[in-house]
Amino acid sequence: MTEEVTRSARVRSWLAGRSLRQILLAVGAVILLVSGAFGGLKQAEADQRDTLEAGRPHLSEPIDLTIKRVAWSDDLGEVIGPSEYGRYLLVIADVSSNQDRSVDGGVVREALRFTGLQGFSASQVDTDPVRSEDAEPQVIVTDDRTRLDGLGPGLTYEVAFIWQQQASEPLPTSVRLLTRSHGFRQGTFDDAEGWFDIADDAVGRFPVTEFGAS
Amino acid sequence: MRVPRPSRTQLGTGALVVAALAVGQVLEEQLPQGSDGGRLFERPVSMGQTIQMRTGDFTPRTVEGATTILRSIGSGIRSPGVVVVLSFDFVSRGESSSLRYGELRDGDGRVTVFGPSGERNDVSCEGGPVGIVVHCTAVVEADPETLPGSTMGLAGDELDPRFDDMAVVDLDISAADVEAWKRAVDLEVDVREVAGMG
Repeated sequence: MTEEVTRSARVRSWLAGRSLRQILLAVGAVILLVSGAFGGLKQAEADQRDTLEAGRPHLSEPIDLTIKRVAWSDDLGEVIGPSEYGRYLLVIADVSSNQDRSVDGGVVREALRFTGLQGFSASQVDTDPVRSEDAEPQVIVTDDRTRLDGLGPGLTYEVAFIWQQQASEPLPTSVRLLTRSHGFRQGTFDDAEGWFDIADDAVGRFPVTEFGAS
Repeated sequence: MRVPRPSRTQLGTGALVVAALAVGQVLEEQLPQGSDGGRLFERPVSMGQTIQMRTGDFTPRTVEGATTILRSIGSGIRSPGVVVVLSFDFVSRGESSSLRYGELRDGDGRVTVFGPSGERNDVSCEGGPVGIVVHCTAVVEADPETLPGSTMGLAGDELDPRFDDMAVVDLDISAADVEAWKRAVDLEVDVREVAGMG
Protein backbone atom coordinates (compact mmCIF):
# COMPACT_ATOMS: atom_id res chain seq x y z
CA MET A 1 0.00 0.00 0.00
CA THR A 2 2.74 2.40 1.06
CA GLU A 3 4.78 1.40 -1.97
CA GLU A 4 1.83 2.21 -4.30
CA VAL A 5 1.35 5.64 -2.71
CA THR A 6 5.02 6.38 -3.09
CA ARG A 7 4.97 5.31 -6.76
CA SER A 8 1.94 7.49 -7.66
CA ALA A 9 3.50 10.44 -5.79
CA ARG A 10 6.66 9.99 -7.86
CA VAL A 11 4.62 9.91 -11.10
CA ARG A 12 2.74 13.08 -10.10
CA SER A 13 5.96 14.78 -9.19
CA TRP A 14 7.56 13.74 -12.51
CA LEU A 15 4.52 15.02 -14.47
CA ALA A 16 4.55 18.31 -12.51
CA GLY A 17 8.13 18.81 -13.68
CA ARG A 18 7.15 18.51 -17.37
CA SER A 19 5.90 21.40 -19.47
CA LEU A 20 2.51 21.25 -21.27
CA ARG A 21 4.38 21.06 -24.60
CA GLN A 22 6.33 18.02 -23.43
CA ILE A 23 3.16 16.26 -22.23
CA LEU A 24 1.34 16.94 -25.54
CA LEU A 25 4.33 15.67 -27.52
CA ALA A 26 4.43 12.52 -25.39
CA VAL A 27 0.66 11.89 -25.89
CA GLY A 28 1.10 12.45 -29.65
CA ALA A 29 3.99 9.99 -29.76
CA VAL A 30 1.92 7.33 -27.94
CA ILE A 31 -1.02 7.83 -30.37
CA LEU A 32 1.33 7.49 -33.34
CA LEU A 33 2.98 4.36 -31.94
CA VAL A 34 -0.31 2.64 -31.02
CA SER A 35 -2.09 3.56 -34.26
CA GLY A 36 1.05 2.56 -36.20
CA ALA A 37 0.66 -0.97 -34.89
CA PHE A 38 -2.78 -1.08 -36.56
CA GLY A 39 -1.77 0.45 -39.89
CA GLY A 40 -1.38 4.10 -38.93
CA LEU A 41 -3.76 7.02 -38.92
CA LYS A 42 -5.71 7.45 -42.11
CA GLN A 43 -6.99 10.67 -43.57
CA ALA A 44 -10.76 10.78 -43.34
CA GLU A 45 -12.34 10.63 -46.77
CA ALA A 46 -14.07 13.79 -47.80
CA ASP A 47 -17.77 13.55 -48.62
CA GLN A 48 -17.66 12.05 -52.11
CA ARG A 49 -21.38 12.33 -52.71
CA ASP A 50 -22.42 13.75 -56.04
CA THR A 51 -25.01 16.51 -56.33
CA LEU A 52 -28.36 15.64 -57.88
CA GLU A 53 -29.92 18.12 -60.29
CA ALA A 54 -33.22 18.01 -62.15
CA GLY A 55 -32.76 16.67 -65.67
CA ARG A 56 -29.15 15.56 -65.17
CA PRO A 57 -28.51 11.77 -65.41
CA HIS A 58 -26.85 10.19 -62.41
CA LEU A 59 -25.52 6.62 -62.16
CA SER A 60 -26.50 5.10 -58.86
CA GLU A 61 -25.09 1.64 -59.50
CA PRO A 62 -26.70 -0.31 -61.18
CA ILE A 63 -29.37 2.25 -62.13
CA ASP A 64 -29.14 5.30 -64.36
CA LEU A 65 -31.51 7.80 -62.81
CA THR A 66 -32.64 11.17 -64.16
CA ILE A 67 -34.85 13.02 -61.68
CA LYS A 68 -37.31 15.28 -63.48
CA ARG A 69 -39.45 16.75 -60.70
CA VAL A 70 -40.99 16.23 -57.27
CA ALA A 71 -44.73 16.63 -56.72
CA TRP A 72 -47.46 16.07 -54.16
CA SER A 73 -51.11 15.05 -54.50
CA ASP A 74 -54.04 13.87 -52.37
CA ASP A 75 -55.46 11.79 -55.21
CA LEU A 76 -53.69 10.12 -58.13
CA GLY A 77 -56.93 9.34 -59.92
CA GLU A 78 -57.70 6.21 -61.86
CA VAL A 79 -55.81 3.02 -60.93
CA ILE A 80 -54.01 4.40 -57.83
CA GLY A 81 -56.82 6.50 -56.30
CA PRO A 82 -56.90 8.86 -53.30
CA SER A 83 -54.39 8.55 -50.47
CA GLU A 84 -55.93 6.91 -47.42
CA TYR A 85 -52.85 7.88 -45.43
CA GLY A 86 -52.79 11.62 -46.02
CA ARG A 87 -50.97 12.68 -49.16
CA TYR A 88 -48.73 11.29 -51.86
CA LEU A 89 -45.21 12.57 -52.47
CA LEU A 90 -43.90 11.60 -55.90
CA VAL A 91 -40.59 11.74 -57.72
CA ILE A 92 -40.90 11.55 -61.49
CA ALA A 93 -37.74 10.13 -63.04
CA ASP A 94 -36.33 8.22 -66.00
CA VAL A 95 -34.69 4.94 -65.05
CA SER A 96 -32.60 2.45 -66.99
CA SER A 97 -29.86 -0.03 -66.18
CA ASN A 98 -26.25 -0.16 -67.34
CA GLN A 99 -26.10 -3.91 -66.79
CA ASP A 100 -26.24 -6.89 -69.16
CA ARG A 101 -28.53 -8.68 -66.70
CA SER A 102 -31.88 -7.26 -65.63
CA VAL A 103 -32.12 -5.55 -62.24
CA ASP A 104 -34.87 -6.59 -59.85
CA GLY A 105 -37.61 -4.09 -58.98
CA GLY A 106 -36.62 -4.28 -55.31
CA VAL A 107 -33.25 -2.71 -56.15
CA VAL A 108 -35.03 0.15 -57.94
CA ARG A 109 -37.25 0.74 -54.91
CA GLU A 110 -34.17 0.95 -52.68
CA ALA A 111 -32.40 3.49 -54.93
CA LEU A 112 -34.15 6.69 -53.84
CA ARG A 113 -35.19 8.27 -50.52
CA PHE A 114 -36.30 11.62 -49.13
CA THR A 115 -34.25 12.75 -46.14
CA GLY A 116 -35.29 14.60 -42.99
CA LEU A 117 -39.07 14.11 -43.27
CA GLN A 118 -41.40 12.30 -40.86
CA GLY A 119 -44.71 10.45 -40.91
CA PHE A 120 -44.16 8.24 -43.97
CA SER A 121 -45.92 4.93 -44.54
CA ALA A 122 -43.19 2.27 -44.18
CA SER A 123 -44.28 0.49 -47.37
CA GLN A 124 -47.42 -0.48 -49.23
CA VAL A 125 -47.91 -3.46 -46.93
CA ASP A 126 -46.67 -2.00 -43.62
CA THR A 127 -48.33 1.36 -42.94
CA ASP A 128 -46.60 2.12 -39.64
CA PRO A 129 -45.33 5.74 -39.72
CA VAL A 130 -41.55 5.93 -40.13
CA ARG A 131 -39.01 8.61 -41.05
CA SER A 132 -38.62 9.18 -44.78
CA GLU A 133 -35.21 7.45 -44.98
CA ASP A 134 -36.87 4.16 -43.93
CA ALA A 135 -39.92 4.32 -46.21
CA GLU A 136 -40.02 2.16 -49.35
CA PRO A 137 -41.88 3.65 -52.34
CA GLN A 138 -43.90 1.90 -54.97
CA VAL A 139 -42.49 2.42 -58.44
CA ILE A 140 -45.09 2.86 -61.17
CA VAL A 141 -44.49 3.20 -64.93
CA THR A 142 -46.22 6.47 -65.84
CA ASP A 143 -47.13 5.36 -69.35
CA ASP A 144 -49.51 2.57 -68.32
CA ARG A 145 -49.69 2.82 -64.48
CA THR A 146 -48.28 -0.67 -63.89
CA ARG A 147 -45.74 -1.66 -61.26
CA LEU A 148 -42.13 -1.81 -62.47
CA ASP A 149 -41.10 -5.40 -61.70
CA GLY A 150 -37.56 -5.00 -63.00
CA LEU A 151 -35.27 -3.14 -65.38
CA GLY A 152 -34.32 -5.04 -68.52
CA PRO A 153 -31.20 -4.24 -70.54
CA GLY A 154 -31.59 -1.45 -73.09
CA LEU A 155 -34.98 -0.20 -71.86
CA THR A 156 -35.68 3.24 -70.34
CA TYR A 157 -38.87 3.91 -68.39
CA GLU A 158 -40.39 7.08 -67.02
CA VAL A 159 -41.55 6.10 -63.54
CA ALA A 160 -43.10 7.66 -60.47
CA PHE A 161 -41.55 6.77 -57.10
CA ILE A 162 -44.58 7.15 -54.83
CA TRP A 163 -44.60 7.52 -51.03
CA GLN A 164 -47.46 8.35 -48.66
CA GLN A 165 -47.11 10.87 -45.82
CA GLN A 166 -49.47 11.62 -42.96
CA ALA A 167 -51.55 14.79 -43.49
CA SER A 168 -50.64 15.93 -39.95
CA GLU A 169 -47.06 16.53 -41.17
CA PRO A 170 -46.46 19.92 -42.84
CA LEU A 171 -46.48 19.84 -46.64
CA PRO A 172 -42.85 20.43 -47.71
CA THR A 173 -42.16 23.19 -50.23
CA SER A 174 -38.77 21.69 -51.04
CA VAL A 175 -37.21 18.33 -50.25
CA ARG A 176 -33.78 16.78 -50.04
CA LEU A 177 -33.39 13.60 -52.12
CA LEU A 178 -30.79 10.91 -51.61
CA THR A 179 -29.76 8.23 -54.13
CA ARG A 180 -28.33 4.93 -52.97
CA SER A 181 -26.07 2.62 -54.95
CA HIS A 182 -25.64 -1.15 -54.65
CA GLY A 183 -22.74 -3.57 -55.07
CA PHE A 184 -22.96 -6.92 -56.89
CA ARG A 185 -21.67 -9.98 -55.07
CA GLN A 186 -22.47 -13.47 -53.90
CA GLY A 187 -24.84 -13.53 -50.93
CA THR A 188 -23.58 -14.92 -47.63
CA PHE A 189 -26.86 -16.68 -46.85
CA ASP A 190 -27.31 -18.95 -49.89
CA ASP A 191 -24.41 -18.06 -52.24
CA ALA A 192 -26.87 -16.62 -54.77
CA GLU A 193 -25.51 -13.56 -56.59
CA GLY A 194 -27.34 -10.27 -56.27
CA TRP A 195 -27.23 -6.55 -55.52
CA PHE A 196 -26.39 -5.82 -51.87
CA ASP A 197 -24.38 -3.29 -49.85
CA ILE A 198 -26.54 -0.16 -50.14
CA ALA A 199 -24.50 3.06 -49.88
CA ASP A 200 -25.57 6.72 -50.06
CA ASP A 201 -24.07 8.26 -53.19
CA ALA A 202 -25.70 11.58 -54.14
CA VAL A 203 -27.96 14.26 -52.67
CA GLY A 204 -29.88 17.22 -54.03
CA ARG A 205 -32.63 19.64 -53.09
CA PHE A 206 -35.76 19.91 -55.26
CA PRO A 207 -38.88 22.10 -55.13
CA VAL A 208 -42.22 20.36 -54.55
CA THR A 209 -45.08 21.30 -56.86
CA GLU A 210 -48.66 20.12 -56.96
CA PHE A 211 -49.05 17.08 -59.20
CA GLY A 212 -50.87 17.97 -62.39
CA ALA A 213 -50.12 21.70 -62.07
CA SER A 214 -47.73 22.79 -64.79
CA MET B 1 8.65 -36.20 -18.51
CA ARG B 2 8.05 -39.06 -20.89
CA VAL B 3 5.78 -38.46 -23.87
CA PRO B 4 3.23 -41.32 -24.23
CA ARG B 5 3.67 -43.26 -27.44
CA PRO B 6 0.52 -43.31 -29.67
CA SER B 7 -1.00 -46.66 -30.48
CA ARG B 8 -1.32 -47.87 -34.08
CA THR B 9 -5.07 -47.22 -33.92
CA GLN B 10 -4.51 -43.61 -32.86
CA LEU B 11 -1.93 -43.11 -35.61
CA GLY B 12 -4.31 -44.63 -38.20
CA THR B 13 -7.20 -42.40 -37.06
CA GLY B 14 -4.97 -39.33 -37.30
CA ALA B 15 -3.82 -40.32 -40.78
CA LEU B 16 -7.43 -40.83 -41.90
CA VAL B 17 -8.45 -37.39 -40.58
CA VAL B 18 -5.55 -35.74 -42.41
CA ALA B 19 -6.40 -37.66 -45.60
CA ALA B 20 -10.09 -36.63 -45.36
CA LEU B 21 -9.10 -32.98 -44.93
CA ALA B 22 -6.78 -33.21 -47.95
CA VAL B 23 -9.52 -34.79 -50.10
CA GLY B 24 -11.97 -32.09 -48.97
CA GLN B 25 -9.49 -29.37 -49.92
CA VAL B 26 -8.93 -30.89 -53.39
CA LEU B 27 -12.69 -31.24 -53.97
CA GLU B 28 -13.25 -27.63 -52.84
CA GLU B 29 -10.65 -26.44 -55.36
CA GLN B 30 -11.80 -28.61 -58.25
CA LEU B 31 -15.60 -28.28 -58.03
CA PRO B 32 -17.16 -25.27 -59.79
CA GLN B 33 -17.71 -22.27 -57.51
CA GLY B 34 -20.26 -19.44 -57.29
CA SER B 35 -22.98 -19.08 -59.91
CA ASP B 36 -21.21 -21.63 -62.12
CA GLY B 37 -21.61 -24.32 -59.46
CA GLY B 38 -25.40 -24.15 -59.41
CA ARG B 39 -26.06 -23.49 -63.07
CA LEU B 40 -29.12 -25.09 -64.56
CA PHE B 41 -29.05 -28.14 -66.82
CA GLU B 42 -30.10 -26.65 -70.13
CA ARG B 43 -32.39 -28.57 -72.48
CA PRO B 44 -32.49 -26.86 -75.89
CA VAL B 45 -35.82 -27.07 -77.75
CA SER B 46 -37.24 -25.69 -80.99
CA MET B 47 -40.74 -24.41 -81.64
CA GLY B 48 -43.26 -27.30 -81.85
CA GLN B 49 -40.83 -29.88 -80.43
CA THR B 50 -41.51 -31.61 -77.06
CA ILE B 51 -38.83 -32.23 -74.45
CA GLN B 52 -38.95 -34.08 -71.17
CA MET B 53 -38.00 -31.89 -68.23
CA ARG B 54 -37.50 -33.24 -64.71
CA THR B 55 -41.05 -32.33 -63.69
CA GLY B 56 -42.99 -32.66 -66.94
CA ASP B 57 -43.20 -32.41 -70.73
CA PHE B 58 -42.66 -29.01 -72.32
CA THR B 59 -43.73 -27.90 -75.81
CA PRO B 60 -43.24 -24.33 -77.11
CA ARG B 61 -46.02 -23.43 -79.55
CA THR B 62 -45.83 -19.86 -80.87
CA VAL B 63 -43.97 -16.61 -80.37
CA GLU B 64 -45.53 -13.19 -81.06
CA GLY B 65 -44.70 -9.59 -80.30
CA ALA B 66 -46.09 -6.06 -80.16
CA THR B 67 -45.46 -2.74 -78.42
CA THR B 68 -48.65 -3.02 -76.36
CA ILE B 69 -50.53 -6.06 -75.03
CA LEU B 70 -53.95 -6.71 -73.49
CA ARG B 71 -54.21 -9.57 -71.00
CA SER B 72 -57.29 -11.75 -70.43
CA ILE B 73 -56.52 -11.36 -66.69
CA GLY B 74 -54.38 -8.61 -65.18
CA SER B 75 -52.88 -5.44 -66.56
CA GLY B 76 -52.11 -4.61 -70.15
CA ILE B 77 -48.79 -2.89 -70.78
CA ARG B 78 -47.25 -0.35 -73.12
CA SER B 79 -43.55 -1.01 -73.59
CA PRO B 80 -40.68 1.33 -74.47
CA GLY B 81 -39.33 -1.67 -76.43
CA VAL B 82 -41.38 -4.61 -77.65
CA VAL B 83 -43.27 -7.26 -75.69
CA VAL B 84 -42.42 -10.86 -76.58
CA VAL B 85 -45.12 -13.44 -75.87
CA LEU B 86 -44.26 -17.15 -75.92
CA SER B 87 -47.15 -19.62 -75.77
CA PHE B 88 -46.28 -23.12 -74.59
CA ASP B 89 -47.82 -26.31 -73.23
CA PHE B 90 -46.75 -28.10 -70.07
CA VAL B 91 -47.85 -31.50 -68.77
CA SER B 92 -46.89 -32.32 -65.18
CA ARG B 93 -45.45 -35.75 -64.51
CA GLY B 94 -45.70 -37.58 -61.15
CA GLU B 95 -47.05 -34.60 -59.22
CA SER B 96 -48.54 -31.23 -60.10
CA SER B 97 -45.65 -28.92 -61.01
CA SER B 98 -45.27 -25.32 -62.15
CA LEU B 99 -42.89 -23.31 -64.31
CA ARG B 100 -42.29 -20.04 -62.48
CA TYR B 101 -38.86 -18.88 -63.68
CA GLY B 102 -38.14 -17.27 -67.04
CA GLU B 103 -35.16 -15.60 -68.65
CA LEU B 104 -34.84 -13.98 -72.06
CA ARG B 105 -31.34 -14.05 -73.52
CA ASP B 106 -31.14 -11.54 -76.33
CA GLY B 107 -28.96 -11.66 -79.42
CA ASP B 108 -26.17 -9.78 -77.60
CA GLY B 109 -26.21 -12.23 -74.68
CA ARG B 110 -27.98 -9.82 -72.33
CA VAL B 111 -30.44 -11.46 -69.93
CA THR B 112 -33.83 -10.40 -68.57
CA VAL B 113 -35.00 -12.52 -65.64
CA PHE B 114 -38.69 -12.70 -64.75
CA GLY B 115 -41.13 -14.70 -62.62
CA PRO B 116 -44.82 -15.17 -61.85
CA SER B 117 -47.25 -12.44 -60.76
CA GLY B 118 -45.38 -9.59 -62.43
CA GLU B 119 -47.53 -6.74 -63.67
CA ARG B 120 -45.31 -6.39 -66.74
CA ASN B 121 -43.03 -9.39 -67.30
CA ASP B 122 -44.64 -12.63 -66.23
CA VAL B 123 -44.51 -16.39 -66.67
CA SER B 124 -47.90 -17.85 -66.00
CA CYS B 125 -47.79 -21.64 -65.72
CA GLU B 126 -49.14 -22.88 -62.40
CA GLY B 127 -49.31 -26.64 -62.13
CA GLY B 128 -52.40 -28.42 -63.45
CA PRO B 129 -53.54 -31.99 -62.81
CA VAL B 130 -50.91 -34.64 -63.60
CA GLY B 131 -51.07 -35.75 -67.23
CA ILE B 132 -53.33 -32.87 -68.36
CA VAL B 133 -52.05 -30.24 -70.81
CA VAL B 134 -51.82 -26.70 -69.41
CA HIS B 135 -51.61 -23.88 -71.97
CA CYS B 136 -49.20 -21.27 -70.60
CA THR B 137 -47.66 -17.94 -71.57
CA ALA B 138 -44.43 -16.12 -70.88
CA VAL B 139 -44.48 -12.33 -71.39
CA VAL B 140 -41.29 -10.29 -71.39
CA GLU B 141 -40.24 -6.83 -72.60
CA ALA B 142 -37.08 -6.53 -74.67
CA ASP B 143 -34.88 -4.09 -76.53
CA PRO B 144 -35.93 -4.60 -80.18
CA GLU B 145 -32.43 -3.83 -81.49
CA THR B 146 -30.95 -7.01 -80.02
CA LEU B 147 -33.97 -9.31 -80.22
CA PRO B 148 -33.04 -11.38 -83.32
CA GLY B 149 -31.21 -14.52 -82.20
CA SER B 150 -32.87 -14.58 -78.77
CA THR B 151 -33.64 -17.65 -76.70
CA MET B 152 -35.94 -18.02 -73.70
CA GLY B 153 -35.25 -20.22 -70.69
CA LEU B 154 -38.07 -21.64 -68.53
CA ALA B 155 -37.60 -23.50 -65.26
CA GLY B 156 -39.40 -24.46 -62.05
CA ASP B 157 -38.57 -22.24 -59.09
CA GLU B 158 -38.46 -18.46 -59.46
CA LEU B 159 -36.71 -17.83 -56.14
CA ASP B 160 -33.87 -20.30 -56.58
CA PRO B 161 -33.86 -22.13 -59.92
CA ARG B 162 -30.31 -23.43 -59.45
CA PHE B 163 -29.41 -27.12 -59.81
CA ASP B 164 -32.67 -27.93 -61.64
CA ASP B 165 -33.17 -28.20 -65.40
CA MET B 166 -34.35 -25.48 -67.78
CA ALA B 167 -35.94 -25.62 -71.21
CA VAL B 168 -34.11 -23.22 -73.55
CA VAL B 169 -36.36 -22.29 -76.46
CA ASP B 170 -34.90 -21.08 -79.76
CA LEU B 171 -37.38 -18.26 -80.43
CA ASP B 172 -36.31 -18.05 -84.08
CA ILE B 173 -36.98 -14.29 -84.24
CA SER B 174 -35.85 -12.54 -87.43
CA ALA B 175 -35.15 -8.85 -88.03
CA ALA B 176 -38.33 -8.75 -90.18
CA ASP B 177 -40.37 -10.13 -87.24
CA VAL B 178 -39.02 -7.37 -85.00
CA GLU B 179 -39.86 -4.65 -87.54
CA ALA B 180 -43.44 -5.96 -87.73
CA TRP B 181 -43.73 -6.17 -83.92
CA LYS B 182 -42.53 -2.56 -83.54
CA ARG B 183 -45.63 -1.51 -85.49
CA ALA B 184 -48.06 -3.98 -83.83
CA VAL B 185 -50.33 -2.93 -80.95
CA ASP B 186 -52.87 -4.46 -78.57
CA LEU B 187 -51.77 -8.07 -78.86
CA GLU B 188 -54.28 -10.15 -76.89
CA VAL B 189 -52.66 -12.53 -74.40
CA ASP B 190 -54.51 -15.44 -72.79
CA VAL B 191 -53.23 -16.26 -69.36
CA ARG B 192 -52.84 -19.94 -68.25
CA GLU B 193 -55.61 -22.33 -69.13
CA VAL B 194 -56.08 -26.02 -68.40
CA ALA B 195 -57.11 -28.00 -71.52
CA GLY B 196 -60.83 -28.76 -71.58
CA MET B 197 -61.65 -26.26 -68.82
CA GLY B 198 -62.65 -22.62 -68.82
